[in-house]
Amino acid sequence: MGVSFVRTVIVFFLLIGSIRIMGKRQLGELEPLELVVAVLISNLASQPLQDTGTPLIYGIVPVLTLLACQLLISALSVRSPDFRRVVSGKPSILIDNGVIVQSEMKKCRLSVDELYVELRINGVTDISQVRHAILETDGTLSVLPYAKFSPATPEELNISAPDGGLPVSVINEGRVMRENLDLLGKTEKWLMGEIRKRGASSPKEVYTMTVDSQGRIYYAMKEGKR
Amino acid sequence: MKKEIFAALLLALLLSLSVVNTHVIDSLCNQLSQGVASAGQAAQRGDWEGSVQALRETMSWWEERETYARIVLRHTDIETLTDDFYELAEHIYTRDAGAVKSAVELVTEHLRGIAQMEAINLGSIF
Repeated sequence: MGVSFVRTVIVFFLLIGSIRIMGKRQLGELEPLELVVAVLISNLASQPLQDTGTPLIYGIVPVLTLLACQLLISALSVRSPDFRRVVSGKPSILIDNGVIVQSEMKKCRLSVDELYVELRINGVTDISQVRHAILETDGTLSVLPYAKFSPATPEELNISAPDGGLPVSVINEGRVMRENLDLLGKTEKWLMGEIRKRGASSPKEVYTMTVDSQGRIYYAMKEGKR
Repeated sequence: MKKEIFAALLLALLLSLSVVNTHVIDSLCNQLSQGVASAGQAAQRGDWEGSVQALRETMSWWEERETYARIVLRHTDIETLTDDFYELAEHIYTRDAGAVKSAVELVTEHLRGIAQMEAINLGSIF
């Protein structure tokens, strides 16, 4: 039990250190701390489940140890930016004012081809359109194009675009969501009227129906009911 | 802040329980070793009744603590230890002093191994 506890603490910090050294490319959209906990917890929990000769405490102690370490480190990260930098690293600017920062690319062990792939994933095919590209601490690439290549906003085009608000589900796979109807200030009578207008005789025939705060309705009938 | 306090308390609790468990296992192994040794010594003196009595007491003391041992020790270790006890009992009943001596050594060695494995030191951690 004691050995499991100490081993878990050692392996936890060793893995965080290793992943930090490996760089952001290994992360796959998880912070180093999250990745270590995710990788370790699943393995630790499965061992006593597979081998009934291993006491459950051999899984419980490391999982609780990881939980406590994770809570402590994430709390310290929130309080101290310096500590956060040690645990999670800092974002790397790969393209600065349109110029690829080769030293940073080298530091992140990222090839130009891989940078192009990441840019294409972000919808950018022409690198000259990018003002800044930042490799975040979780390994994702944030791409900020030059203003002239950014999509125009309704404000820039002087168009009024009313906010639709959050659409709320009122029918979910044939079930009426009464709480959501109350939230919208609508009644079942209103709902029945709306679905009849759209050709259904009962909510059971409706796959999904959402209503936003402007009263706009999205409606889909179940297959075979049309 | 509540979460941080909870995490720190949890770590402290786990560490304390681990230290307590190490001591409990160490004392359990010592107690069993002493019981087995006294059964062996009685057998070497030719006091077979005394040997049977000492082993019986040790085994019943062990059975009372087996549930705790099953929670914190690998079950294979417990089963091997129980087998060792029965082997020792068999040699005592057949009054084979030489075999009793080696069976006592085997049980003692096994108990020492269990205590070492649970002790928090560089050897057991790495």
